[in-house]
Amino acid sequence: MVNDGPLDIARLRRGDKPAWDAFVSRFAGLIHAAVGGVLRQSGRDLAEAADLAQDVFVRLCKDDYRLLGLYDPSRAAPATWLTVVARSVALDAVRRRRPPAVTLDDAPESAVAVQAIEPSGFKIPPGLLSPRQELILTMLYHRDMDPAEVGAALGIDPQTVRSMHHKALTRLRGHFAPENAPRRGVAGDT
Amino acid sequence: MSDFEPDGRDLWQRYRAAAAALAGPGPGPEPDPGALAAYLEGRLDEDAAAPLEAWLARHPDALVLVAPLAPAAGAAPLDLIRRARALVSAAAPARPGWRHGVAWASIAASLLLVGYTGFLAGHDAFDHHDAIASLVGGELIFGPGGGEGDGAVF
Repeated sequence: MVNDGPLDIARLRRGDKPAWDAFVSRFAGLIHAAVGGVLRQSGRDLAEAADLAQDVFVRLCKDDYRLLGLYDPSRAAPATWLTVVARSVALDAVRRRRPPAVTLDDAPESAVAVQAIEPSGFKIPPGLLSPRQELILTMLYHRDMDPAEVGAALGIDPQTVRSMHHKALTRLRGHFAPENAPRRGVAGDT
Repeated sequence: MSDFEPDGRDLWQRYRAAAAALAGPGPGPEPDPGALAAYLEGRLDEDAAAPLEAWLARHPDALVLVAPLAPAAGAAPLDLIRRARALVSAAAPARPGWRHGVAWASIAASLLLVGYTGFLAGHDAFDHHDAIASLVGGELIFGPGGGEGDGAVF
């Protein structure tokens, strides 16, 4: 793959024009695709992709190449690092351009209907779920990903995802069991 | 996922609601791109990945940062390549060198010179205020109430 080679950060940070041009030629497609992916997933106009990709290059070289200087080849390949940087820039843009909030009166009934939840009174003990269990549940229920997608994202087998999901729900069931509900009006509680 | 765990979504929502109601420190600041890239490549062990995964769980929209990499990227628009290349000029060095320091030293010396010249000019005028007053046909009063100060001419 054309993007797998090392990155000569020192030359780039010296302002070496041929090195910068080669860098742009090598990674413009990857950066453009990375910001396009975020825009696509967020339902944004893909026409913004070129401008956002240009913004990525601006950030990489501004302040005396400060951001580019943070790249550590011992942690990840340059293509991976640049993909994360490009996605981060695109995500920032998506967050900034979110449409203004709609008032309750203007929102359709289906949008404001919520399922009754009883959060008050329950305490979540530290470590009830591990970070990975919490992340898996977030991916499954907040992002509506399936176990195969979660497994691919986390680099684990889908069956492991199912197993961790099951264990997490078992812990939540135990925690939210009726005997853990807050007692109301019980003598001695006052 | 509701196909084999019917109560899963409800339990998750209750957990999130209860967690959100707790007052406590959040999962920390956004991880740096290097950490996210290392995570994306599967280079972090469980302990190193834990704080990052906790942060991702609390910021679901950021999951896009660690989505699997596309197998191959297409070609970039030519206009993007042209504009990005133009960010670095062939003529101007991007890093400030000794010339940069000399330029700032020259500016500082110029400012000092201007200040000192101004001080001397003001001092001379103060010493010869009688002569100046006679030249302008009035009396020089320094400062409010006749005291010495701002050099106003009345």
